[in-house]
Amino acid sequence: MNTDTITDISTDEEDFDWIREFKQGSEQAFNRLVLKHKNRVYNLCFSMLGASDDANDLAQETFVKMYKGLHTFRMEAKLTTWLYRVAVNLCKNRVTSAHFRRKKQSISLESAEEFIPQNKSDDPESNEIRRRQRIAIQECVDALPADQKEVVLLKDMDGLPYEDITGIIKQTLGTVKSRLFRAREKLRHCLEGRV
Amino acid sequence: MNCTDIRKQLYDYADGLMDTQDAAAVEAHLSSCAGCAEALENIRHYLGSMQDMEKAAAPAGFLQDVRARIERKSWASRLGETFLSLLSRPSFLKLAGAGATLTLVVAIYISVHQPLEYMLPEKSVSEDSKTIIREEQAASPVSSPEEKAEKTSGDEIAAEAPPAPPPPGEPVLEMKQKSGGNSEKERTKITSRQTRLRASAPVRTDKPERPPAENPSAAKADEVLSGFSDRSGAGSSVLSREEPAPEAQTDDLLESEAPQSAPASTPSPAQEKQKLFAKRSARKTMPEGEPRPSERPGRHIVPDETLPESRQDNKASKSESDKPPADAHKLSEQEVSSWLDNPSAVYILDESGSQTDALPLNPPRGSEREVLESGHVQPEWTTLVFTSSLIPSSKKEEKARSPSSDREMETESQAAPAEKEIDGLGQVRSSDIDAISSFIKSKGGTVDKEVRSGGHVTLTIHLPREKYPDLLKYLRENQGMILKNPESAPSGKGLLNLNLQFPAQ
Repeated sequence: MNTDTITDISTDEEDFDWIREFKQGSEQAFNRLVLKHKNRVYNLCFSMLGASDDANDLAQETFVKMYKGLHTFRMEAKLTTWLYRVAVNLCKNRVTSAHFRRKKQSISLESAEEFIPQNKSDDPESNEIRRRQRIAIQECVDALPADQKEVVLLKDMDGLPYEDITGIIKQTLGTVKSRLFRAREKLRHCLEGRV
Repeated sequence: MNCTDIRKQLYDYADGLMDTQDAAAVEAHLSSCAGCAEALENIRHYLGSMQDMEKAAAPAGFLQDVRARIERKSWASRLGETFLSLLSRPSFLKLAGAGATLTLVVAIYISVHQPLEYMLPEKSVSEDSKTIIREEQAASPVSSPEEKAEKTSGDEIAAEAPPAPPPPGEPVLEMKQKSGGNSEKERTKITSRQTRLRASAPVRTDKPERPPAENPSAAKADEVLSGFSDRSGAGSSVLSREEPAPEAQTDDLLESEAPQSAPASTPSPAQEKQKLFAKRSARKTMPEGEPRPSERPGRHIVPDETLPESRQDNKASKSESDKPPADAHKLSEQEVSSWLDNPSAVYILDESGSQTDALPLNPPRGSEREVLESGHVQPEWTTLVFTSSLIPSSKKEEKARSPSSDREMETESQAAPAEKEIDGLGQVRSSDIDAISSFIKSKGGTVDKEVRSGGHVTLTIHLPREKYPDLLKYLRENQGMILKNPESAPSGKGLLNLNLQFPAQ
């Protein structure tokens, strides 16, 4: 499991400390929060949208909303849950917009391939294999309905526990599991022989 | 467990979310089933691929971009961004084009017909305005008297034709026409206004004698113009307080001139009121089998703005001719529900046009004050019919009912025609009805109570106009809600049935 998917108590406490500092007027604390979570939020947006410019736009918008909302954040839930919920909702709205649908039809997948990997190795061959795998997965994920897409990305890509997912998408555990099962089956068949 | 059951649990097993007992059962099956074992391997491979998937990193300068975005999030920049992003979308351009066209049409329409037509419900306004604009456009290029005769009809002919002698209300308009210049456009405008003003005179002796339109378009023009005449009449009473526009001035002129042009036989408002109450009294004795007004095929519902003052005066002649009101049109269910969603005064008119009281369906936006100020409540006395929705009472409530209230119910049930209705009445707190009655009487009104079939009790309330807001306020605060439900409310007494829903005990 990827290390950046682990959300332990210490990271949550770190978030809360920075939020407290931000509430006391420290802009630097906000910057630290952005730097800490930007890749996860951006990756989620990129996976949901399959387009780097839209992902960048919505990831930035997520943090702008965080900036405005942190003063009322009561720290009863994880910051990541709150951030993911904002990002997922923004992405869902964007995906359903007619403008985005037209854009997706006109843009080839090649442009979606041009993403910057978080962990790039020194081996070019390995990098190429991983890039192709990512493209294959992205193609299959793009074919999923939005409600299944968000669940499978949160669970299988980000490794979030069910508890967090239900909080992010505001659905019951049964609904989450049901969507996840259907999404996984579709993805598994789509990826068979490709990864 | 068979393979189907096992495969449903393989994801949980691979995720490590099963308890030891279930996991042992799955493992036992996997050891003996190669197919399921292979499926598990596929699932594990898939999960591994997803978890090891290359993650996309945010572009360089992400934080700076976020900070910059926060900085420029002033309202002006947000507005600009939205506008620019919309401009890049073809759908917005189409929408903007449609909006510009609509604005242009509305601007032309308002410039030609200044007053209140655009305050009407959407459909009637748009249709009427289009028709009027077409009529105006058709009339404008007319130059010779022969062409005028061909292209105009109805009142327009009367307004345009030189030989027609000016009626008593016209001198002011004649002066306007003379001083207004000779351009074709201005002449058209004056002609249009003249036509509408002439038609808007509350009672015209020559109106029934108007020759019938010879072709469909002329008939439509007649219909529209007669509709305008009624609306102009309404505007003189309703909007003169709200919009002191030039049109209101001319309306005032017409109002002052109206008595001169009205026939001597026109009944006074007091006589009209007496006649209405007499008709209502006659309806009380209507046989059960006779269809109720709302069930009759010719029922019309007219919005408040379209109910003219002149209708009060024209009522006698219209009922004589037994024609539907000129400004009424049959509404689709959608239109009705659209109005009901935006409560305002609504008039339900019979085919005979005899039911023309103005009753607010609901105070606009919950403000009783507006009902009065907008002139919705006319005449001085208002007749309301409240039909209560009976709330089924539970056995517990039946037991809790006191013997005294039972006695009250028995007293009331003497007026009920059937045993079944006694039970129905018993489910409404008789104290509520008594309280309403007392309130009405305290405000100088009267209440007639009638128990109807189907377990409804109908209160016919005669109340001074100025007390009406008090009643609404009282009902809201003490009795419950006034619902707009003309479908279920049985009509038979009044013009408009309001469901008065009593709160559960």
